[in-house]
Amino acid sequence: MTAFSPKVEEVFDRLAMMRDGKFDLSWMNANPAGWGTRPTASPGGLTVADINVGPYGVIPERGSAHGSMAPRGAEVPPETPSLGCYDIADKAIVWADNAAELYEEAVARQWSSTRDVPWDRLEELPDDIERAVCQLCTQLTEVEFIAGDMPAKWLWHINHDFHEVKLFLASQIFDEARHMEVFRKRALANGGGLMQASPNSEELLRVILEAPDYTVGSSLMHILAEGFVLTLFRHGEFLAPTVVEKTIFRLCMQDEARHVGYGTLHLKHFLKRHPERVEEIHAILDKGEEAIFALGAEPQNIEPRLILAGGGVERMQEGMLRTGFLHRKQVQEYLHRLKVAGLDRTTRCRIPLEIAQ
Amino acid sequence: MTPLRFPSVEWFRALAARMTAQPEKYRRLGAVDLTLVPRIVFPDGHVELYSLVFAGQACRAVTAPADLAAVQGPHPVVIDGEWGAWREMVENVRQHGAADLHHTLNYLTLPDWPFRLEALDPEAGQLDVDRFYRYAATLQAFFDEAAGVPTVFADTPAAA
Repeated sequence: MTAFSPKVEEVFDRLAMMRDGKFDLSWMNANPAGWGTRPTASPGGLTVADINVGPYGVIPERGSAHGSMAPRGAEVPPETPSLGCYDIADKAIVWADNAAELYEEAVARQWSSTRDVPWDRLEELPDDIERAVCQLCTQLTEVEFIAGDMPAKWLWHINHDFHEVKLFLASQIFDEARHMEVFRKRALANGGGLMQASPNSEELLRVILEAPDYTVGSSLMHILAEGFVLTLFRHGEFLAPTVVEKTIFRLCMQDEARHVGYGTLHLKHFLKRHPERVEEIHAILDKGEEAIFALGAEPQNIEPRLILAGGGVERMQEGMLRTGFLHRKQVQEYLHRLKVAGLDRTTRCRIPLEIAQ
Repeated sequence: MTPLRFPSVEWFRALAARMTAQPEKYRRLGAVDLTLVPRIVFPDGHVELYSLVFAGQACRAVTAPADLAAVQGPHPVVIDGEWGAWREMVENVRQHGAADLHHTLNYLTLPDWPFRLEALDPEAGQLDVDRFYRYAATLQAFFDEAAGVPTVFADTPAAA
């Protein structure tokens, strides 16, 4: 007969006691301060913010020291082991006041690239236009999942008391999965295919992935990179040759704007509590701005947009004139978001507001 | 149905009613928390202002505030443009059943011309404008409802 370990034997003992009608039930008296909660649901349903009532609404400035996945507000037995990885315990490092709202919004606005894009309305496009669309989609397939990989790198370090942030970042990772999926689909859907990868993109992605801590990486990714991509998505919608691309960019734009919204309010929260770290943020943005500016001049990045804006490879210079406003818009909105976050870079910004066309 | 004047409170309320009548369509598009303020500048210089308060999956209130200071509602964002552009957008929606590639809200606002977006709350600033992007699909669907609203335009001469 197999000899069981003491741990398994303990389970047999417990089962035997239960068969004899001896139950523990001590858990029924756990957490008396947290019992009797009756949240009020919002008009659209019961949200994550709605249930932040009473003791459950107290979000500590430092996450619990027990280091487990025990939910915020639960009674944590003293023998609960630390998992040893939740070492981001300073709320300021990750928090944004809109995290719960943005998570709810992400859940409500989920879409499917299979179902919600009218693929049956794809049209045969002139060769240069199709190549431009495919190159644009190659570029976006390449860069989009940085905003999945970067949060994933930090997510498992974030203390479970900040579950609103973890929920939001999980939703962002899924958003980015869908973006990678939908741009790859569009590149392959209409007789074209994936085209050329972008070395300059990889340089920027490296800076984001190698950021020394979460907030520094978030400033670079959520505000600078995703802010610029948000405008590019808007531009993609603007340039879309068919309703298929129009739909893709409109849906992606919504997702990206949520990510930028989180990043802006996160930086605001962080700088209020850690004003002494403002120079670190400036320093990473110095690097990021230069990298993103260099990326903007890479042929496989800029030329497809000029073809789409001009209406063909023969009219790319016309396309330059038609897209002249875009860089200014990107930089202006980026600087405005930083201003909302409490960071003034109007005189420090490393890239020009205007580019001669 | 008697044609409604564009722009007017009644006309925007007709869009709101169509939104309310299609809960499943708008539920799938997601909730909105925004006050959109169409500002329409006519050739003679007069301005008409409307306030559309979106909450959840509905446009809950439509009013015509006297001026921007009188706008009430969360996260107010002005969408400002000249009459000709507004009229062309609505005509385009009515002609095609939905905005064509060159008449979507995003298309008309991205270059800051012919429409321009501006947050009314200086503290929220760009964050409120970003809400317009976050709710792009819903707001476009809302304006596309114009396809089902018999419309007479403000500059159409009245029948004798």
